[in-house]
Amino acid sequence: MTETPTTEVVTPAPESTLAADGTTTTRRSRSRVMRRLRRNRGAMIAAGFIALLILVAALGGLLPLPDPNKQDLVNRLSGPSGDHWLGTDSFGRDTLSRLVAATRVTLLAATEGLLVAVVLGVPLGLLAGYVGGATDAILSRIADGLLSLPGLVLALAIVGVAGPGLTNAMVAIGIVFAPRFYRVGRSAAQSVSHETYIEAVRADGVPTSRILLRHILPNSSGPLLVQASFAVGFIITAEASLSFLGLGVQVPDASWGSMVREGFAHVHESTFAIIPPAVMITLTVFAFSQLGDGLRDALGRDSRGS
Amino acid sequence: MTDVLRLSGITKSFVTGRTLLGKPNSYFHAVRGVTLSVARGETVAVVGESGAGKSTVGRLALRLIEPDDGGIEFNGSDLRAASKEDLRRLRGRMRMIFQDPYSSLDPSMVVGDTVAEPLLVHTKMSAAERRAKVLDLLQRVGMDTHHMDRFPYEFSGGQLQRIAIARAITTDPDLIVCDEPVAALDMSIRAQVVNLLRDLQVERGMAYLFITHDLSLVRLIADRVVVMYAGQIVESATTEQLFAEPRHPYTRALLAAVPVPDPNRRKSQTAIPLAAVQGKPPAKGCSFAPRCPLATEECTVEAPPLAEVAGHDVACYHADHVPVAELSEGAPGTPHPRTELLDPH
Repeated sequence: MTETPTTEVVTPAPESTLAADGTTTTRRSRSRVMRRLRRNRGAMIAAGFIALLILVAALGGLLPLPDPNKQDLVNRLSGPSGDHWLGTDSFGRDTLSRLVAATRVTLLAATEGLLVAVVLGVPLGLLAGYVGGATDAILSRIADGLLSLPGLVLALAIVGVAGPGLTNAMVAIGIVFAPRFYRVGRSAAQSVSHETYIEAVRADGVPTSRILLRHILPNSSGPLLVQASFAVGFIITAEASLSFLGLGVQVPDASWGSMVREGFAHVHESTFAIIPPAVMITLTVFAFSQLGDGLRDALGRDSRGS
Repeated sequence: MTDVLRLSGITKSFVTGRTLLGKPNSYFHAVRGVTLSVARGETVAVVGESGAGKSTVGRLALRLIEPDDGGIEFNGSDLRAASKEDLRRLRGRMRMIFQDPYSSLDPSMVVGDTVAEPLLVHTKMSAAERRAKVLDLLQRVGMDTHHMDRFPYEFSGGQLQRIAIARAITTDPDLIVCDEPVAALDMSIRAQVVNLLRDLQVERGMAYLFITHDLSLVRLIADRVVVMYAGQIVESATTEQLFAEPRHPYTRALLAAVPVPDPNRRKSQTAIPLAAVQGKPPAKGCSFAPRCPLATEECTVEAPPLAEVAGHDVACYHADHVPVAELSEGAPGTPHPRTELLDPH
């Protein structure tokens, strides 16, 4: 790579980095990663697309679109037209409005699932990787056990017990994905633990909790970030699968997955209804994995720790 | 003088091989019965070749690794009996400086936070007090205030080592273990760092356990020297005595291997011809015997104890009756296979 040597001279950070505990800005090393990421065109297009999705999810209600739940049974399953740009579904509801409304549901669901997976998997993974021994052995066996079950079957079982509904579905998916974050966190923590600077902070009497939070976590964040961006894609697919099976989002709300299911049910009457939500799922999953790839490349050098 | 650190008969071996069932079946005896003390404000150098157990002694002294046997006393209290939490608290009073400053500072933390961390952990200072103290310390080691918000990768090795020193002195420790603190640095900045360490000692009166293989450095900084060979102390004396009159044949060989920056003197520089290292030290007798030019029958039977000879503690049967002059005035001109003596840092 033709990276020019760092020439950001003397721009003292305005906000103090000592001000409050836990608010250190690692802006500089981050800005270096961002520079590399910005040079990656695929990743930037993906990031732009994701930003657009978030914008649509947040402000979709303000768009001059028909009510996504308003039925028009006369015009059901119509193809694209001037009134309905992406046609209508089996109840004559406007597909574009529903797609926009579903964007919010889908992104929120993905965030929920990711949050559950990260909160369950990362802290335990870091702890196991750093402490090792019996803690590691026990936690790792549990993670292995969860990983050995087919993901969708496990999620189905959990939703079966907890009852259908989007939140339950996403918690289930989060549990399915938690062992992956556990594994990545554990191996990252393991390699960071052997660094001299970890021995140094231990020699200085820094408590274990602080070592994990302030030294192991920041230095393991690269692989975790990459894993997270890949996982979002998988989680959206998983949500679509559960909603397709009727266990996720409930009527009349829509997610992209539930829209695919509805379109699929009427695929013999109209082949078009299934296409817009399927395209959105594909593009979004692709965008997140592109971003993940880009992040991994951009972090590359840094995540290995100088 | 009171002792800050006292090690008595400390022993540590590492498992190097296991049976199929995971039972250890071969060991490396890194440190074997080392006894030494460091007084308040004193610098004790531990020297020896690679693998002599110097660094292990440093880590044992701070109980960063658990000894198999022996006692560690820090400021008069038994370090081996201390609970985990007590030990963690005591770490504010005993610190360590590592060889490679590039890897001993957290790359994801700005140096201001790195230097402030021990204060955060060991004192109840407010954020503003910490900041003031960090600024003060950074200036003391010759860094600028705006360096606080920079990351380690933005500095040179010498600067990083000075930052590591600033971190080490934040809590005004009684003891700092310096593990080859300048070995990874350029020749040109070694003096800078060594002088800083010396000045700080004069100002703050902390003791150093200074681990090094560089004897010219020992002369500059140490009050006393402990020479280690194969995990054991073979000689210990004050720096003056050791350099004037080395008693143990290994010490003599070490001293003779110090390069002399004078081309005319080089030929008259003498060394004892040492046999090459032959794998593991013998199971019984003096571990140095296989390489020693003075070795006799008795050396291979039982290891010589550390005994006082003319103010030195020496572990050699021949220390007192071999004339020092004879050895230090050996035949000139013959090249010696001394390359294996010191590792090539």
